[in-house]
Amino acid sequence: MRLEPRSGERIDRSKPVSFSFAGWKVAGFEGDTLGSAAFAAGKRVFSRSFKYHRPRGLLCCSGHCPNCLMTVDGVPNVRVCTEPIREGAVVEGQNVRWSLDFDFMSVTDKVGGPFTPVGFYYRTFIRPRRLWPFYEKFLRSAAGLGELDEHAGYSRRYDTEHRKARVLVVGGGPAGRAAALAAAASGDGVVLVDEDASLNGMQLDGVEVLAPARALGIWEGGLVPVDAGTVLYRFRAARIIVATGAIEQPLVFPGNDLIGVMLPGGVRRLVNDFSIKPGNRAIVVAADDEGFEVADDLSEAGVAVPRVIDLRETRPRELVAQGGKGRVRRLVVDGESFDCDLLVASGGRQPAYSLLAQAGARIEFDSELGVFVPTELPSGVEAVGSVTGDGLGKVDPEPAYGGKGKCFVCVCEDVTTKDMKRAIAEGFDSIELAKRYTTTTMGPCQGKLCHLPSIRLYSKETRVYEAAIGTTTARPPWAPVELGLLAGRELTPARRTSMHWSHAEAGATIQWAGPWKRPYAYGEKPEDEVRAVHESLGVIDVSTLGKLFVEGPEAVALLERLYPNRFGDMKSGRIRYGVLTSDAGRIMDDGTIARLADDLYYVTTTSTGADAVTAWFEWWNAVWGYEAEIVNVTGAIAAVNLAGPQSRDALQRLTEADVSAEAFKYLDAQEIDVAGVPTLALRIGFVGELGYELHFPSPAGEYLWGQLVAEGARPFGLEPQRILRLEKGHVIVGQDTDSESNLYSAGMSWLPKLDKDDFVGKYALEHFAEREEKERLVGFTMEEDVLPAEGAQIVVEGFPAGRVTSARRSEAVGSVIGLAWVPTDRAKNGTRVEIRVDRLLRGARVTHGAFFDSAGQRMRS
Amino acid sequence: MSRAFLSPSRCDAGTLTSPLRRALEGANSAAVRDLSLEGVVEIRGDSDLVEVAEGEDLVRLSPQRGYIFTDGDPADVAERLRAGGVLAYDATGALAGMAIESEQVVRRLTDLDLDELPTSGPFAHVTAIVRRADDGWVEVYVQQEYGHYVAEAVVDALTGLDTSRGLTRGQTPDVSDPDGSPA
Amino acid sequence: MKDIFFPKRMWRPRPELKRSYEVVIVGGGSHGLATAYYLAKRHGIRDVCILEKSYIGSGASGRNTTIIRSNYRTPEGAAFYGESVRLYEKLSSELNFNLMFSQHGHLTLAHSDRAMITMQERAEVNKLLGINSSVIGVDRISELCPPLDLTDRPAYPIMGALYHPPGGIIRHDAVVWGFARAADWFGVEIHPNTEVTGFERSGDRVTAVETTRGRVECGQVVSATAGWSSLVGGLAGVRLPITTHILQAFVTEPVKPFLDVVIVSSQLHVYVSQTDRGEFLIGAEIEPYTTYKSTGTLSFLEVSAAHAIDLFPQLERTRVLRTWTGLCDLSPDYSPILGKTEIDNFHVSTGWGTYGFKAAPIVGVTLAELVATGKTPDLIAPFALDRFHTDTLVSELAAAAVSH
Repeated sequence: MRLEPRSGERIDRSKPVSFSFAGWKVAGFEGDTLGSAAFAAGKRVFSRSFKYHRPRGLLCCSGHCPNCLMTVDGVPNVRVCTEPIREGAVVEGQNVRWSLDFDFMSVTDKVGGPFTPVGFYYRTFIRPRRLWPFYEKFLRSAAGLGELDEHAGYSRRYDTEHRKARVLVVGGGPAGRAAALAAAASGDGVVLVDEDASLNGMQLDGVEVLAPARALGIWEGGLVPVDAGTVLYRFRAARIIVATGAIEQPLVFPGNDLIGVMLPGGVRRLVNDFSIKPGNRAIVVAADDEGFEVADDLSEAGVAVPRVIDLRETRPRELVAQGGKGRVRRLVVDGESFDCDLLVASGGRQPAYSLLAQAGARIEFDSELGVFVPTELPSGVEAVGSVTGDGLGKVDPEPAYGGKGKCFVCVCEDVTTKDMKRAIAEGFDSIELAKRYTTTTMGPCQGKLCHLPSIRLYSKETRVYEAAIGTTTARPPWAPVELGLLAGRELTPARRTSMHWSHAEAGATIQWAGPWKRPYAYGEKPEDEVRAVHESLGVIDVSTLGKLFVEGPEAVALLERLYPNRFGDMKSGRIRYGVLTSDAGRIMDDGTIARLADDLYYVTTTSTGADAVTAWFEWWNAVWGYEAEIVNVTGAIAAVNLAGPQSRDALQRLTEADVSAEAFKYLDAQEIDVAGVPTLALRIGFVGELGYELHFPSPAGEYLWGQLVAEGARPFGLEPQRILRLEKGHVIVGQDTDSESNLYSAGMSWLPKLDKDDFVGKYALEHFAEREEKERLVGFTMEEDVLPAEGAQIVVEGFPAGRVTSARRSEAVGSVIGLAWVPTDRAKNGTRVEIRVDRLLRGARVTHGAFFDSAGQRMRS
Repeated sequence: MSRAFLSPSRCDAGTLTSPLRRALEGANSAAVRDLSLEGVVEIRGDSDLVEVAEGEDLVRLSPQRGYIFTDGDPADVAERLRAGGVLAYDATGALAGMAIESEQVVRRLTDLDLDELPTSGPFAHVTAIVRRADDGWVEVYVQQEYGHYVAEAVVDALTGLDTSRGLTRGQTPDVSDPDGSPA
Repeated sequence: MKDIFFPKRMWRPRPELKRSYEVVIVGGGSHGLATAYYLAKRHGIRDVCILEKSYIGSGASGRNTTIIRSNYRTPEGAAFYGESVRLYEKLSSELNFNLMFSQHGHLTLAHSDRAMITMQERAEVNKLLGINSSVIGVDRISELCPPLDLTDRPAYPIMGALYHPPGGIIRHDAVVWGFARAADWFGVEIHPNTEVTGFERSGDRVTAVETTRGRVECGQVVSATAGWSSLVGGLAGVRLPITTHILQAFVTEPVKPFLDVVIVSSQLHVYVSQTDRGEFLIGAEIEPYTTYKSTGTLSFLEVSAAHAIDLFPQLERTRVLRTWTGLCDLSPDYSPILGKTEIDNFHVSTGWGTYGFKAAPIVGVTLAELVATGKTPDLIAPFALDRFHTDTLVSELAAAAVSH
């Protein structure tokens, strides 16, 4: 029921707004919250409690407690007491079977008590084990609050904005405003944030006011994320002033969760902000001054206040709220009964120290005030106002008042005093254990309304002072925050080569390959692309290869010490294969090293290895201090592999340089001009045919790709390349090898030169050279035409003894071929091994060397 | 060896494409501009030895490392610098660059301090060099292979958010208004 | 069941430490308590005390994300964790305490063909060892977990998954409390708020343990101290190749359960389950830097939230309620270090990374056997500390990029 228009009210009576509340049409005004409008329309039941399904109504009206959690427009767990009203909103009750006013599940409240004490689920449904899944199904169906729309999509409605502030003030109460104004007097860059929407538009000289906007935490470096609904402001502030005030604490007495039992602040908000008469007859029970001011407001609003009980003056033994249909009807104090339909009860105010605690402040019990206060603030963080305990009077209510009926310590989780006492009696006698066992403070209010009452009760029961008990850990965020807001803008970095769009436009299937987007194949049949390379001409984009310049007078010394093989004897214009090993002798990466000049090397790495190899080189170079520079030019240079018997002719048509077999030999590197583009051409053969890797400025990628395709080169993707390289028995580091593979077990014992001076991994390689490896990487040919999955197991006597790392059907070889790790005693050429394929063991022969053109004539031709 | 295969400026005319061409097609050129084909030279060695000429801007990443942004031919600049005793590499092809008018758009994609430019750090989750142009626009350079992705993110931020589902709390500032203060 | 009507103490308060114990276990988490329980139950060794510096289950046992599974990559790992799951399945009944083991299945998603190979390898190893595990396609995933976004909207679309039906979640505190109650019943002494400050040595043996509450003599010592194990080992003079990192997780406000299976994505570094309370429990990969400082980071929240939404777009308006961190003890090959050290009577359980909780019962069984008999059980022989001297590692690395 609305009061006559009052000064200071937030509602605009000229602008009616209507929405649906639990199926009823409800009208309110602009400026209302969904909760205030529903309350004004006479709605009292807003939710059903977590465990007992007791009806619950407005309690704090400040967005802290769980009592007004409802589903709004399909979004569950919205606190309607602070959610601004909006036309046509659909507000529904949650966690109810039937309706808010009549919930079948409330039977647990009436009869479940003795059967469902705290932790009952640990003691029941244990035997027989096979029935547990059915019990669990029932338990799960009873769990949870609101219901999420399982089929909801992703809205992309959020963003993040990075901001800087000289001074960030959290909290727009009197202390916060004063602090902000004082800071603004000495310069700009002052921002004040407050979670209360009514502060939106507040004018403070020289201060930017953000509201409703909620600081979620204080992280290192003065990082304060602020929830502004759809934008997360990530503030960096040199000075943070916390003025979060204090939170009214409920009193713990039987019936303290009845509808109509409210905190003073909530009542004052209803009266003063929304001009609502919250009841007809109110009793006030409070432990500090703040609680009493409400009595004046109520009287002024025409509510009879026949009795105000000051807990500092009287210490009742018994304090019981009684009611009917879940609503308070009377308060009984030591046998004396007072009728009421509103019971304002306050256990004093607890400083809202969470942000400070999370920032690193110590939280101590102030026995003078009877509450916890922050001390030892971290540098850069200040606190003002009642969050420090300033202005709070001493409060010392009974931890729990006696009487008959359920007496709630934690309304979120329906934890009663009986539950707490029982937990302590069972041995859960530290506050953290009791919290975990009873789940007190673990609900949606995050302990704002139950932490202090829990500790007060715990202190009394265990006879340990509050100061010795301490608090449970303060964990961010300060208030629940939407996952979408934290996630912000959807940003997934993707690397694309400079020829990417030529592939996409040619209809290639694009796939992730590590951080890159790469063509898998250009058509339905990768084998056609393989055939083109074998028979005529193909071209593949290999720009993803890592590319490094190593330059300087000591470049060669650096490489000699990084790689197990030798480079000093290599002439300019020549290329050598190299494998990098870790200091534990494991294979890290592989690639080619071309010597371009005496003091200049061009190193390629695997597609995913460029950054790691660059870091590895720089690390060691910093350790050794060679006069050599390492420059990662991966992005600057595009590269293609032009391969196939016709590649020489095609290249010759595009260049004036002599690329004949005599002038440009296998493993030569030459700088030539290709179709007007300066190019480094490397004659190497990863795919086993005559071929050239062409490296050139990346902005010319699309152009040169087009020129090569125009010369008849058929584009081929990753999948055909995998088949081609497998035919040659070439290893892919990271697929055929793993973090434990070394050069000896991987069949490259020819590569390390142990007579070299020290190099990375030499000690380990010497060890490997002498010991018998447990397993070996070998090629295999299937006896039948079945394709094992990559990852299939080599089986010996029923046990996994090795694994297939690569397998493909090869037209050119005429069978299914692959690479596999096998036990060393089965690694000899021609040995039969058994591979598990689709539940059957299939035979395969170990095959050493390349499967195709094993003499390598084609690529050397 | 000439290292010409690093230099887009040594390619024939008409052979070059910006990595941002697709992403910035149709974008508002009054809000974002493509800088990708403008000259950049990476330098190694004592950057005090670098003599910066007219039309050049040196951004030091460390005492031994930096980039020179040049209006001239970067391959020529690199050769000049090599003659002066520092190692220099044409990095024009390595970086994609874009100039962005709205600081707010930039602040939606990076937490770098825009009062302390030039600087280097994450922009839309990839490493960037950020500098300020004479006209006040913010210039962002990333590895060219990330260019398309970053430009898409910038264009998306410029377009603003899809607010069709309605806002419950707070308001989304209008990003097309550079002076617009957040609600 | 009758316990619900008549509250009984779970464990006895222990005012003083005795002068000596046959076995001193450092660490009152799931491993220490399980070891004590099996020592008493299977080997009749009851003169055991557990020294816990805080409250029982205060470390990794109470901070993990409660996922149980055995679909490991290495045959050694799969066999070991397979045995652990079998023990867990019977544990509620054995301890007469409902651990709420919810075996609705565990799905490790693959977003790349490389990941599919790893899944295939794990499935094949698992099958040969009798562990229920297979690679499934998108259609089957959609039957098992309808809310998952299987479209090509996400940046990394889902290509398939490793499906492990016996995997699931368990109530982690209940495991701690169940073992503690049973161990206490056998006479094992549990001493919370008792921090170990040093060890007295005589030659290759530890003779006594110094604590903040006095000194106790010991026959044998077991250190089951997870994130602090290199420090505790150091006190005894045992160097362990362990680095300590933090792992972060968060829960959302409770909503009606619709996710029964556990969803893990290695590539997105995120795993998602929904507890019996209705909260979504979302965790990430361990942080790459070493630290003992248990403050979380904002970027963890941001990145994990983004990846959770990639998998479950309908979670976008669900709210994060609380975050926390735990310490992880990481070994070089991601496999545990379990059993003997160079000190004759000082045994360790460490190197668990993010897998420790899954192994609690089997660690208890095998360490108890080692302590009682002096012989290393075959099941844990591959996990000996010695392997770092002989360079015979057991690499779970290929599977380790978040494998909860």
